[in-house]
Amino acid sequence: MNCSEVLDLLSPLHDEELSTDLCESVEQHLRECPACAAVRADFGAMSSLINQQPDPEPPAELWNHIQSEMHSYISTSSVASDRMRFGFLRRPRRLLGVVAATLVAVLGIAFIIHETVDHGHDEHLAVNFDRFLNEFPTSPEQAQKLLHANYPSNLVDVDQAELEVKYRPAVANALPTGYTLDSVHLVRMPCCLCVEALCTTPYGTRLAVLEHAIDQPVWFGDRPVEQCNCNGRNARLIRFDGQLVATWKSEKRFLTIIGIRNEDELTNLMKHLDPPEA
Amino acid sequence: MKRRDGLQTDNFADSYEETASDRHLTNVGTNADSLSLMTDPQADIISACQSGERSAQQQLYELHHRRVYRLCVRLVGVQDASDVTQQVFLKVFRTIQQFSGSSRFETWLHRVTVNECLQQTRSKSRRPEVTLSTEPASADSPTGTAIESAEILQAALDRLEPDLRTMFVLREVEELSYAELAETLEVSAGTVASRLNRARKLLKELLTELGWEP
Repeated sequence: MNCSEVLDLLSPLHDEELSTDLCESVEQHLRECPACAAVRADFGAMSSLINQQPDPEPPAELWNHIQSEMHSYISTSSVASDRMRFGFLRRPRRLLGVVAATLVAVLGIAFIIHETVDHGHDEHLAVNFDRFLNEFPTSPEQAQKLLHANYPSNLVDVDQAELEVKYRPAVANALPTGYTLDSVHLVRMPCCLCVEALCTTPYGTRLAVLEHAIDQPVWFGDRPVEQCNCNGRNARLIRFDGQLVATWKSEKRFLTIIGIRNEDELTNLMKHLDPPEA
Repeated sequence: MKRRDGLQTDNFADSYEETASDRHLTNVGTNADSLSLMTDPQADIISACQSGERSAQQQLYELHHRRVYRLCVRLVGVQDASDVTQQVFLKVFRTIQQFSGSSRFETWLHRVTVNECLQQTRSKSRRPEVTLSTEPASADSPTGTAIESAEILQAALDRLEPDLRTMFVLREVEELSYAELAETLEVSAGTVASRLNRARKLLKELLTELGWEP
């Protein structure tokens, strides 16, 4: 076993999650390698450091605050309901005013609910997509499962996808040499119906190609974004965890590719998936 | 496995797809048979909460609020921990009908807590800043006091990426097994191992920058 292999297994060893045979091999290496042994000792020291910290004491009034919030949450709807039932019946002359006020209130509440739901969707979308992006470099299939667990999806072929989204998916074009199309799904995201394709590259890596009717900057959270002109298209690039994500507009929809190695691969992909119009 | 909260860790029922790196790991398997023979002592409390009983809500809070608060302190810092803990329990009580019992309640609660902490981190959009009241260690200054080490540790945790911080804290503070981490964070056991390696490597660098010496 070399140092690189051992370093990969140090956390499972430290956490007693390594199988017995591997445990012995790693321990053998550690007895002979002071550098790796020092890293393991650091892991132990950090565990001791965090275990030395006393548990923080929750504020005593916390339960009262929660109760109060729960009470106001429940009573708000109850009081509103009582007013609706009895208020305006006692004074007929006020009926018109009450109706108008109620209408304004209902419209206001509807607007607030609409905004809140939209905001909530954005928050969930950002969290879900953050997980997808973080998981994709190490396990594209697991990342895909996460996405499908949160949003309804169907396995389709490109022709079925075209019928549903009313444009020809980019992966229907010839992929660059050495690339294979593994699967195409239709995913119902909050923004729109997306075409999500998984491809294998000649380098043994995987790519996710997403096509969506609406631009989705929320997918990338607060990650730094670079602008670039690539193959005649204005694209946005996001780099993290050694991978590149690119997104750009193409005719009726936006294209987003996840898992690109570098700009050369991006240019090659764009030439095939989104060739400039003749 | 001994844990701070005294919970057993062998009743982890849901399986996940095995990867090459998973195969090196032990304890990531499941024990559905033993699970089916166990009864959850919280089941009645949870059922009562699903019916909206206030006393049951308080019982559930009493059982778990220390764990939730401790996790929030480590993930979002002590200044926001109370607010986030409050949000966690409000969310739990309002959505507990959605808890189906297919996973352990603690797993569901951890997931709610982690999501609330991530939303808090995101909504503040803060890049963590170090606000140490103590200077980094030098030859002349005393080191190793409890207060200094607590501040240094929290400052270093604050500077870790949220997903690494979450993984590290759930492992080291909450003592979740790799299988529980994989289920709570919806990742593979191989990803658990690689993220913990990265988290520990980066945390060691950050701690050293802040003057910590093992």
